[in-house]
Formats: sequence, C-alpha cells, structure tokens
Amino acid sequence: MRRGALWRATLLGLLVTAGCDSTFEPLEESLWVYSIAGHLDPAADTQWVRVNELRPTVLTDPDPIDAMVTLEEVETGRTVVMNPVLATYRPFLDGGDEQFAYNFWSAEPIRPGYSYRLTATRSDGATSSAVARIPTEDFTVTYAQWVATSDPFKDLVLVEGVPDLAMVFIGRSVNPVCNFGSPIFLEYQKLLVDPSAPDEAHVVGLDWVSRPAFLPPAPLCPLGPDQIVVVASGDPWPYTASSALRDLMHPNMVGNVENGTGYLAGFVMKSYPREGCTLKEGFEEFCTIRYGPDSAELQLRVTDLCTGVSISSADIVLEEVTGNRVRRFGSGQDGRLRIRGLDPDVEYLLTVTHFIYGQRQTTLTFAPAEVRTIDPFTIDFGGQTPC
Amino acid sequence: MGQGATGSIQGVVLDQDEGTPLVGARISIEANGTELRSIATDRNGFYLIGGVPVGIYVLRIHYLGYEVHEREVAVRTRGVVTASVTLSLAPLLLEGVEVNAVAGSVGREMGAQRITPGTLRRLPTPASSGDLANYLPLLPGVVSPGDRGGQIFVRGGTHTENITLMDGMMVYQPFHILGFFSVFPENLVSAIDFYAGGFGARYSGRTSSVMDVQMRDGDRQRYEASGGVSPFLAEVTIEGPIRRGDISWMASSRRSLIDRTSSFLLGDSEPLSFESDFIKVSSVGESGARCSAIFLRTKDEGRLDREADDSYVAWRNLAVGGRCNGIFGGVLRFVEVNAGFSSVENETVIRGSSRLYSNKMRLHLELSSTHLVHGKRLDMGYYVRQENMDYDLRELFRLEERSGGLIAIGGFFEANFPIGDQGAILPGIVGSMYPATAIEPRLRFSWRPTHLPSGGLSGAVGLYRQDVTGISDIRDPSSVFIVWREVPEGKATTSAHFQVGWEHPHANGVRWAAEGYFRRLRNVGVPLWSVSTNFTTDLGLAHGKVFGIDLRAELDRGPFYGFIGYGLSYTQYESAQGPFLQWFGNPVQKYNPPHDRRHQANAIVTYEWLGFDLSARWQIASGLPYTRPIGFDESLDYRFVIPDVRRVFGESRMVIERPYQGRLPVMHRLDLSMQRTFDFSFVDVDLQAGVINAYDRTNMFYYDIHTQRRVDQLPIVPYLSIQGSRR
Repeated sequence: MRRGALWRATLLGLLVTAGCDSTFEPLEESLWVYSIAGHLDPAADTQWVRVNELRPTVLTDPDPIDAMVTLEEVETGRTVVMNPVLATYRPFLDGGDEQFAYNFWSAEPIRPGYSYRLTATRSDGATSSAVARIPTEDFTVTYAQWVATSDPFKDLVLVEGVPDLAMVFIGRSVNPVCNFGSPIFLEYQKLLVDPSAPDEAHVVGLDWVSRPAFLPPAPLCPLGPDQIVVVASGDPWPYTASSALRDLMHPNMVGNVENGTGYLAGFVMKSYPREGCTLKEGFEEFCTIRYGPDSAELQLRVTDLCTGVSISSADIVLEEVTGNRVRRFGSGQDGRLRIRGLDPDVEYLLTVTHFIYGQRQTTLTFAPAEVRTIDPFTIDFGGQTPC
Repeated sequence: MGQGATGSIQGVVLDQDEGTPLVGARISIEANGTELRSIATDRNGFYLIGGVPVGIYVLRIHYLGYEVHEREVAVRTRGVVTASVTLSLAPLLLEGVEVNAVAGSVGREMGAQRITPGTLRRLPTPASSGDLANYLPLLPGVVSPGDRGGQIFVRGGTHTENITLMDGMMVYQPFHILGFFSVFPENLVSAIDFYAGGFGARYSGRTSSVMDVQMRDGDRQRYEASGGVSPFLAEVTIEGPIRRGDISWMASSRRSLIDRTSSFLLGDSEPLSFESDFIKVSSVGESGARCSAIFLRTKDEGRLDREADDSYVAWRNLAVGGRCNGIFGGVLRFVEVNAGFSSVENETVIRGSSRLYSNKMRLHLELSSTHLVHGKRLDMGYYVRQENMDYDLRELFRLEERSGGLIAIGGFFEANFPIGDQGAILPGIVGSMYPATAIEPRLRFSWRPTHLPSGGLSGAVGLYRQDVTGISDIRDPSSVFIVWREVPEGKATTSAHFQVGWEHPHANGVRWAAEGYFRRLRNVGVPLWSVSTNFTTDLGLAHGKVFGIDLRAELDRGPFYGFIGYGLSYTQYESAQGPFLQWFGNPVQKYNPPHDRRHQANAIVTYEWLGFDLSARWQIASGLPYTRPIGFDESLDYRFVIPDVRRVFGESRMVIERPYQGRLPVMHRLDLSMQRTFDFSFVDVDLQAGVINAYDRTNMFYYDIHTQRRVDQLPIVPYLSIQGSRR
C-alpha cells in the first residue's frame, strides 16, 4: 500500500514537473533603441552618419526605418533634420547576401570648436542620442625627424592644443576604389602616446602599418606624395590601435550613445607634407618642423628670367641663417613649390639651383601666419645671359 | 604464514564461440565449501589472485548467461596456477537466463560502470538494436544537448575531454549526428567500462571521463549474418571463422535513412546523415593469448538547423590498429601491446562563410603489463603518442591557418592492495616525460561491509591532465564543429577529481546508489569572449569548479525492471580576459558554461509480457545556459582609417551585457517501445514497434541567437524496426 502510494506520488510529481514550462525570452530587455555610428567632419561638405534600430537578428532587411534623426549645434541650438538613405552592401569576399543599413546625411556645416547632438527618435517617442565635440583647428603639429635615418621609425609627432588624438599616420593619397574605400594608403601609423606629456599635448611614435598592404599597379592606382595626417578628436578617443577590434566591439568599451549603442565621433583632420629636414651640424638628433597657427608659408614659382617659362626640377634649399635646420625641396612640373611650417621671425636663406641656369640666393624673414608668394622667382641662364 | 607459503592463480576468461574476453566474470576460490576470495575479470578478461595459501581449492568462474565453470586447482609454494577457460552460453532452455548478460545501471566497480549489450537493449531505440549513445544520457551527470549533434558532457567536462576507446583505439567523435546512435551499437560491443570520473592511472591524456569499449569478436565457429532496418537506419553485420576455432572476422556497416524517410515520417526533411563501417579480425591462441585488428570509418554530415541552407557540419573518423595480449611467464603475468592510428576531420560552413576545417590525427603505441609483487597486483605501462592538429578558418577579411603537433611520452602504474575480501585500495600514478614532465597521482578505493553481498563505499581522488584541447564556439550551444589545438600558453588543462559514493543492494531486488563529486578545473581552454558574430579560435583560459550528486535506484525482479536516476550538477567557469575590466568592471568573470545542466532525471520501466518486451523511458532536464542578446548592430573600425559609412558596412556584433544569462526551456520526453523475437527454423526475427517523444513535446535543441530561430528536437516519431539474424 505504501509502495503504491509512493509510486503514485512519484508519477504525479513527474507529471506536474513536466507540465511546468519555463518561459523562454530569447532577447534581453533593454532601453537601448538605436545604433549610431559615424563621424562629423568640418572638412566634409556633407555629413553621413549610420543610424539603425538595434535589430533582433544579425540579418538585415531593407524595411523602412522608424526614425527621425536631427542634428543640433549644442551651443546655438540650431537644429536640422537629417535625410535617410538606404544603403546596400555586398560582402566583399564571400559573395553572401546583401546587407542593408540606413545612413543619414546633412549638408549643414560643421564648425570646429562646437558640439553637436545627434538624436534619433522613434514614432513612439523613444530616443537615442549622442553628442560629438569638434576640436578647434588651431592646434600645433611638430614633426621631429631623426636625421640619422630616412625611415620614420624613430620620428616623433608632437600635437599640442587638442583634447585627444584619434589618429596620426603617414600615408599617400590614392583613389579610394583602389584601397578598400579609403582615400589614403597607410604606410605608418600611430604607435604610442607618451603618457607623461602635459594635457592636450600628445607625443606619438610611428610604426609600420600592420595590415596587409596591397594595391593594384601604379599606372592604375597612382599614389600621391607622403603626407602626415593628424586626426584630432574633441572627446577622449576610445579606439586604440593596439587593441583588437574584437575587444573594442563590446558596447561597454566604445560608446557614447545614450539609450543606444555605437559611437559618434567628432574630429578635425589635417594633413601636412612629409618633407626632408636635415641639420648643418649633428647626426644623432631630431630635426623638427613645426606647423602651428602662427607658422608662415612660402609659395614660390621658379621661372626663367628672360622668357618667364616655369622651371621644373630646380633644387631649392631653405636653411636657417643662424639656426641649424636645413630643408630641401624640388620645384614641381609648373615650377611651383609650397613650403609650410616656417617659423616666424627666423631669418632663412633661400637658395635655388638649377644645373643649367645656375643659382640664386635670397634671405627671407616671415611674420606670424604670413603667407608669402614669390611668383615669379626668377633665375637666369648662367647668371649673366642678357635677355 | 610467510610469503613463501603462498601462490597465485591467474587466467583469462573468454567466450567459447567468439573468443571475446568476458569482462567482469566473477572468479572465486573455495575451500571446504567456503568462499575464500573472489575477484572479477578485467577489461581483457584477465584475473589474478595473489597471496593464495598453499592448498587445493575449487575455482569457480561465473558469468551471467554462461555456464558456470568449476575446476580443482592446487596452489603450491610460490606456484602460479594458470587457469584460462572459455565459457559457453548457457542453454537457452534454462529459464531466466539471457544470452546477453545484463548489468544494471546502478552497480559499479572501482568507479567503472559496466555496460553490456543487454543493458543497451533495454531502452527504446529507434533502430533494430540498442546503442551506447542512447543509453549514456540516462546516467546522472551525463549531459546530451539533445537528439542530434553527437556530443556528450560528463560531470561538467566538455565533450573533448572524454576518452573514448574502441579496443584501445581512440575514437574522437564516436557519437553520430543523430543523437540516438554511435559507433557502439548493441550488436557490436562486448562490454563497456564507463568512468564518469575518478578513473585509474591506465587512462591518461583527458580530464573528464572514459568510455572503454571492448568490441565483440566474430564467431570462431560459424558464419552468421544479421541485418536490420528502421526508419532511422539500416545495418548489416556478417561474421565467421577464418580458421575455425582460432581466427574470426566480423564486418558491419550502418547507414542512416532518416534523411530519406523524414519527409514521409515527419512531414519535414531532416538533412542529417551518417554512415559507419567496422571490421575486426581476431585470433585466440590455446593459452588464451589474443590478437585483434580493427578498422573503423565514419562519416557524419548534415544541417542541425534544417532551414539553414547556408550552413552545414561534417566529420569523419578513422581508426586503424591492433592489439595483442596474453599471459606470459615469469614476472610478467599479463602483457598487452596496442598500436594504431586515429584521426578525425571536421568541417563546417557557418551562415554562408567559407569552409572551415579542423583535423586531428594520432599515432600511438602502448605497452602494459600486469605483475604480482608480494602477492599484490601491479599494473604498469608505457605510451608514446604523436598527435598532429591543423585547422583553417577563413572569414571575411581574415585568414587563419595553423598546424601543430606534439609527442606525448609517459607511463603509469597502479597497485592493488586488497582490504581482505571486502575491498581494495588502488593507488596509481601517471608520469609524463613529454611534452612536459608531470605527475598525476590517483587513488581509488572500495570497501564493502560484510553484511552486504555487493556495493558499499567507493571513491576516488586524482589529478588529470590534458595537453591538447578541442574547442567549439561556446557562444553557440549547437556548434559541433571542433577545433583541436595545443593548450593555450602551454598550460595544460588539469582537473582534480574527488568523489565518494555508497551503493546498497536490498534483498527484494532494489538497489540504490548515491555519489557526490567535486572537480577543480585549471586552465580550461575557452574561446575568448567576443561580441563579434564571426567564429574565433583565439583561446583564453578559465578555471572552474564542478560539484554535484548522482542518485540512482533500480528494481530488477522477475519480468519487471525499473530504474530512476537523478543528477544535480553545478558547473562554473572563472575566466580572466583582457577586456573584462572595461566591459564589466571586473577583470574576472564567472559564468555557467553552456553544458551546465543543473538537473536531470531519467526513468526506465521494462516489462516482459506474453513474450513481448515492453519498454518506456522518460527523461526530464533543465535548460542549458545561453547568451541573451539585447540586439544586433554593426561596429565600425576607427583604429587605422576613417571609415565612410556609405562604403563600409562594419562588423556585425551581438550586443550583450554578460554571457550566459539565459536558460533554454526545460526538456522532457517519453519514448515507448514493444519488442518481440520470433524464432524460425532458418532465421531469428526481432520486431520492434515504438514511438519517440510519445506526447509530442516541443523540445528545443538550440536557439540560434543570431537569427532568432529555434531549432527543435524531433517531434513524435513512430517507428517499426525489424532485425533478422541467421547462423
């Protein structure tokens, strides 16, 4: 009898247990609404930012997006509505399914030194927003070349006057079609920032770019001259080159979106020519070129004294009269040359030499932020040929 | 009585027709009608009784289903009596005697649960014979994710931490893609020793469990053929003598049918298929010395999610090798040599990705011997293993291809110190010289109170080490694609086992057992956690702990057999990974891995009624952990270049807070079967009718968190199977 009761109780218990079914909620509840990704760039005539609903699957679809996206200049309150465009992406290698995303654009000018709030609002009132601060443009970049070698491994870049550095790299301009959509073919990149530098000063070393460098042959994809590109961020920059993307992808790692995921960046990107700099004396030392708001600029066109024809391939040397630095250039096909990063109130000796025409020298001193044009800068054949 | 006044008795017990070792046969010696000592044969059918006082004894050898063998033996001073016997099947006329011996699901000996073909046959299996894969999840502490996938997790260990041996040969993925089936069907195995943990020093290289399967030999006397078919698979086995009485062969082939029958049976196609071929040649000498060679190949492939046309997984096993063993003279009482080659090839395509593959192969040579030292049994051995691994994982903008290998050299010994006739203590050590110098001490013990005919206290403690690791994408509980590689940072995975249990038989046929266990895990290779939706094999390390309790009870009386088992298990990993501090505010995260099944219970009832074998099995298990996503989006990479959102899609990611915060629903299922054997003059026919998932419970196999699609286990599936055999 007792055994029968035990069996019945066991059976009943099993059936009751079987009947109980825990509910299954595959998705975790969250207040996050939208994913926002992209950047605001004062140099661009149109701003493009990705805004999409945080979707329940990894799959994308071209369905209409329920979002109104506005861009507000925080300091002035000026607000514009951004326009959605459905973009279609095709996996590059695998030939898999097309992927879809909504990108929003606005031709509203972005001003350095201002902050911008991007807000995405759903029809039920749920919103996600992000604020990006654009740094001012008047920062100073000093490129210190280690004279002993032509490779920039030991070179340093000092950037002063910006809240944070997003990127510093050396690269060459290229058709984006040739370079996975990027207009700059990277050669060297930011390696480290000296943590002992004072606020808003950043010391950067350079290293080879780690990603595979592949380009079609030069006739199809010609490369421009070397440039030093500095991207200054208005906010602390969350992407570090030494971190694995896998680590940075976690929403708690990189994100400034309220009630949403993603990162809206605000930066100013400036590029400077990477030019040679040597020293009259000394070898194991740095030769520095400083690009600041007070730096002067010289624009030059070398021409024939008699005919006025532009002279290409002229050797141009600019050396400090009392200082130690020497910079060397060549005139372009049209005889023109632009020299930036000239310190004000420093006396320079400009020497233009051509193997046919001979040589001409002159001394120059610049005022702060002066842009001086010498056009034409004439040299005559042998220095004595009458016209 | 001094050492010089004792001798020893040894021998091998084999099946007379097949020559297969009878594992677990009971050997006893009696004097004047009193049983003095008793012992069971080991995995080779070998027994060794040392320290037997000089005298004349009756040696009795008993194995369920076989005729009892008795003989008189005279033990002389320092003498060695070799008494190898072949047992013949008991006449079938004897009521209550089965041809296949049936071991229960409760009793264990030194941590080993002995599983016999008869045990496998008790469960409703949708085929013409039972199968180890269908049986194992019955046991508390053994977790199977569902009715497909081919994975078994034992007491918190992963499926790549199990040792599965087929006549001493490693089989890497022995379980087929359809979870009812493995390469160990009832009609091919002789006996299986299953250690859920605490295994002895003979086994090394893995940290979780051991399935040591002895395959049956072909019939040495007669030719025999058998075949069966069900909606799930078709199988055929043929066997016979090569030289009658000495050398036999057996060949078996199995092919799944479910991919062809499922449309009719289930209304939907189940794109799962497998096949396996097995050949064994064996010879038995006069003295009981045996040699055998085996060949096994398997192929599994299919889509675990039948709707995912852009995904599939496949694996292939190959095992070729042989072993010889026998009784030698002198100090070498029993010697075994085992050599062979095993390999597994894995490949998969995940959501339209490029083909990913991972291969592993192993060459091994093992020599083991049994000695008698001061009347105590001592087992020792040496091994050399060469393991090679390579894999190729291609992803969008990513190429990862690696290969590697290692040589493992080491040895073991295990001594047996009897505690009178009531138990034994077995200390042992595994010592490895390469790839690292390491010692794995182990100790097993058993003790039976005199008032109990069997059972009693048993336990084990030991350290276990593993130098290669197999990983799968733990973010996806359905992933059966395994990448084999060396342990990260050269740190071997170790697991310390502690377990103690009590087994109690009652006179009324009830037997119950309880066992508690604890494991401390170190350096478990786990994939680095990532929110990226791409597959990754970068490994991190985790420590962990596992504890639980297994409860079992069975009643075996007359035509009725009942078993109920319950397992409580708690598995927790603790991993320190670089970005955890920034992600979660703590550099160390604790989580329950996706094989942490907290509760599971199983019940079996069988009844013989009017010549029919009626069988019912019910199982219930709590859900497995999975990661609940908040949603999905794309992440842009601003590390090196400024991405243009018009051209760059970004890398898809799963937005989560923390991993493994969700649990899949409870699963439960009832399987029923009815079977009857018809004996005709020219053929024996087994007919079985049954139903899987009798009340059509919708059990989730896994939830594809990337596509938000649930993949369910089989719905109600009626089946009819037939098997015929002819001698």
